Parts: sequence; C-alpha cells; structure tokens
Amino acid sequence: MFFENSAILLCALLSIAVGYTKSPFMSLMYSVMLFINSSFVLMMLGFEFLALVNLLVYVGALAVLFLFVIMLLEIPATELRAYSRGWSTLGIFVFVVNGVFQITPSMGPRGIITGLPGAESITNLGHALYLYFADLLILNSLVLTVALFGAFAIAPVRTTGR
Amino acid sequence: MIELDLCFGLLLLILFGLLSLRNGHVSLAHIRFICQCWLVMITPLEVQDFALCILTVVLLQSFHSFEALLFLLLAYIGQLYMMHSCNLVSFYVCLEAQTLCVVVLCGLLARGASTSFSVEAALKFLLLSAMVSGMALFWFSAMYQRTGSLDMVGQETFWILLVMLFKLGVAPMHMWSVDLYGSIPKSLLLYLSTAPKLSLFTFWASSWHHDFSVGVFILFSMFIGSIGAYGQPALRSLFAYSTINEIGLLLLAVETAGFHTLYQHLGIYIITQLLLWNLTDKRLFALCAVSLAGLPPFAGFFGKAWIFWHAMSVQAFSLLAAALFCTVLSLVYYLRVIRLFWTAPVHTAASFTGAPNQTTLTSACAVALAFAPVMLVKPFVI
Repeated sequence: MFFENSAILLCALLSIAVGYTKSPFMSLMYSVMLFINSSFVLMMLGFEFLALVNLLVYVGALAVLFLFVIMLLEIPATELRAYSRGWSTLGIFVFVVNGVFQITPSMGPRGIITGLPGAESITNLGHALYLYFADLLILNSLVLTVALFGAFAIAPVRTTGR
Repeated sequence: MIELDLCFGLLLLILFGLLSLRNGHVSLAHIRFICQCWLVMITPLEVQDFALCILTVVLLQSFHSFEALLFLLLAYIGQLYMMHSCNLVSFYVCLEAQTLCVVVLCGLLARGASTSFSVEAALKFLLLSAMVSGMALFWFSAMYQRTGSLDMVGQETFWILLVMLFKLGVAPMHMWSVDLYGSIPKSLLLYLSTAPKLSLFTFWASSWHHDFSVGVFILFSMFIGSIGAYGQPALRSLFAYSTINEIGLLLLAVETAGFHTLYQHLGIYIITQLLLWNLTDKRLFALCAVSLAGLPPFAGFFGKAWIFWHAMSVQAFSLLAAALFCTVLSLVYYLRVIRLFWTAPVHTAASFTGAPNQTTLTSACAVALAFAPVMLVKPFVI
C-alpha cells in the first residue's frame, strides 16, 4: 500500500509543481510527468485501457499541442504571470487545507459491483458503449459533429455573412 | 428505438435538403414544410411531448436558412429524449445536444451589421455552458464513484441541481441570459426562451429527485428579476429580467410540488413569449406586458394565481409573501412598457418588418392570452 500511496502523492506534488514554476517550459515538462504518473496510477488500479488511452491522448496529443503553442508563440519573458501574482501559492494553501479539513469528496464504501463480473475493463467499456448506451452513442456522434463544425460556424465571416 | 429512427430521419433530411436545394424549383419553404412533417411523425406519448412538438413546428417557421433548421431538429431530438431520461448519461448527452445546437445557432445567424454581437453571444454562451457542463460531469462521476449507479440518488444532487438551474437562467447564475437576450436575433431568442425551459422543467418534474429546497434560488430570482429591470434602457434586457422573475415563480411551483400549476404557467409563459418576439404591431407589446404582469383579464393572472393558490394550500407562507411582494414590485416596469406602447402614437411604418405569415401566429397567441381565462377561472369561482 505504501507504493500506491507514494505514487498518488507524487501526482499531487507534480501538479503543485506545474503551477509553481516560473518558466512555461518547465511547467509543460512537469505536466508531461504528471500525465505519465496518472497513467501509472490508473494501471495500478486496474484500468488498463484507460491508462493506455490517457498516455495516448494526454501525452501524445495534448502535451504536443502545448509544446507547439509554446514554441510558436516564442514567449520572450519566461516568467508566468500566475507565479508573480501569487495564485499558485493560493493553490498550495487550498491543497493543504483540503488535506487537513477534507473538503473534496473521497471514496466511499465500494460494495457495489457494476458491469459484467469477471470481465476486463475494455470488455466493460465495449458493453457499455455498444450495447447498453448504443442509442446515446449515435446521438452523441451527431452532437460531436455539431461541435466540430460549429467551431467553424462561430468564427466571424469576413464577407457579407449569412 | 424511436431515437434511432429520428436520427436516421435527420440524416435523410440533411441529404435531401443538400441535394434538392440546388434545383430552382425547390425552395426553403418546401424543406421547412418537410421538416415540420418529420416532427409530427412520431406519436407523442405524453402531453409535454406534444407541446414540444407543436412548439418546434411553430418555431421552425421563423428560421430562414437550411442549417438553422437542421440544428433545431437535432436540438429537438435532444430535448425529446431529455424529457424522458432517467439516467444521468442520457441527461448529459441530451443537454449537450440542445446546448451546442443553440450555441452554434447564435454564431450562425449573424446578419451583416450584427455579426460581432452574434459572435460575442456565441462565445459567451459556449464558454459558460461548457464549463458548467464540465462541473456537472465531475459530480456525475463523484456520484457514480460513491454509489456505483447513475440513477440520481445522493448528496451530490445539489451540485447537479446548480448546473440545471444555470441552464434555466435562475438568479445567482443569470448573467448569461441577460447578456444573450440583447445580442441574438429574434427568432433564436424566441427559441432560447421557450424550448430548453420546457424540456428542463419536464425532466425535473418527472425524473429528478432531490432533498434540497430551492427556496434560496426562488428568493434570488424573484428579487433580482423584479428589481433588476429598473435600470435597463433596452426592451430586450427588460424582458430578460422579467423572464428571470417568471423562472423564479416556476421554481416556486416546483418547490411546492404543484406540477400541474408549473405546466399551466409554463404554457401561458410560452404563448406570451411566442407573441412577444414575433410582433409586427407594436401595440401588442402592451398586451404581453399586461399578461406577464399578472393583471386580471388576461391569462397571465391565472397562471400566477394557480401557483399562489397551490402555495397557500401547501402552507408555504413565507415564500408566498416574498413572491407576492416581488410581483407587485415588477408591476411598475410593466406599466412603463404599457405606457410606451399603448398611448404613444404608432406612426412608424417600419413596424411591419416581419414576414406576412406571422400574423396568423401573432393573432392566435393574442386571442389565446385574452380568452384562455375562460377555461382557467374555474377553481376561483366555486
């Protein structure tokens, strides 16, 4: 149990470090380490599909996106404004207060087993997506299409408009 | 499954519209008629389904572009399924369906000079509602983690209730609706103020169970709705505050568990909104204002009277006293609207800017507001 707890503590420390450094590049590096750590913790909890998808999406897409943004914007002053205004210190304070007074919810008794007993997480995911919530999956695909093309529609049209 | 049939029908409508609008003989009016027929092809199971179907058929008439019709139809599917959902995942997917369609329509319906207003409205609404939906997802997952089910039991319902109240435009979270009412075109404003509220209230009344009293939100909504309209120079923001007032009243109906009064007042409110944003003759603004203020010969009085009567029978006296006080406070700004539009001479010919086929709807709504009290007066006469 010590190993799992220390992995989760490392998650917490890395997330504090993301907000507590001055340079955006170090912030991004800490966030990449945080993503890999969170994937590790998920693997220990038994969510192997979610761990791999986390790595793929967070490190492979999001961290690369942020890296490109930092590269292309060429931020000359390498100090983050949040650092100089003290917001990250406030974040640490809230974290410590949560550790003492326990404001955010923690896990309750896990006596309920949902999903197929004895199946792996990907089997449960397939059962939920394609059997139990199949109609919602199709509706959600239409909603995601709207979100995708809506981003183009909201952008202001330079000509006469519609 | 009905929902799959509806989605498949929507896809067929998209293909049909795209391929047939190239022909000179097919105009948008034909496509709109077929969309309205598609809406009535599903047999409604309850009266709220029927109301939503008729409302959407009427609302489709005011939109003049093909993409707007498709977004409205997808939002209709989302609303129809929200009204019957009892699972959190389906509630979330349907909520996002209708919200995203409204957001995209805000940005899409820009015409010429009002482009920056529409883009600003779309961005504000998108950012606020996306963040609030993210919060809702967090509390859904907290509830699932604690109980292992998605069936709405437990203490996290308070936070999810906050999200629902945000979408309705209830008072501590009402700023988006005041901003949005001034920036979007009238047809979309008409849609935004009627259809999402109908579906959310139906979902609340049929499937949502919570232990918490919404009394705080009722008081906030009624006070802000009655006092906030006094500083507003624009008519749209004045009616935005009156909407917040009405939503406070509908929350009072939900709080006292008078769901028949809720639907009654919601129906009268929807007819008033249909009249309000579709007007070609400005003097009918005065009629709307009298009905919204709750003055006796028109239907608005009876909507409010049923809610107050039920609150009295449930003995919610403090909430009732606050509601009556705020109704009196809000009366004065309605009087200003009445004075402006009834006594001032109607000398501008530019008031007839609406399409000619809206006069049927407008006159039907005006007649409904004036003569519906005949059917509503019965409990008070005995």
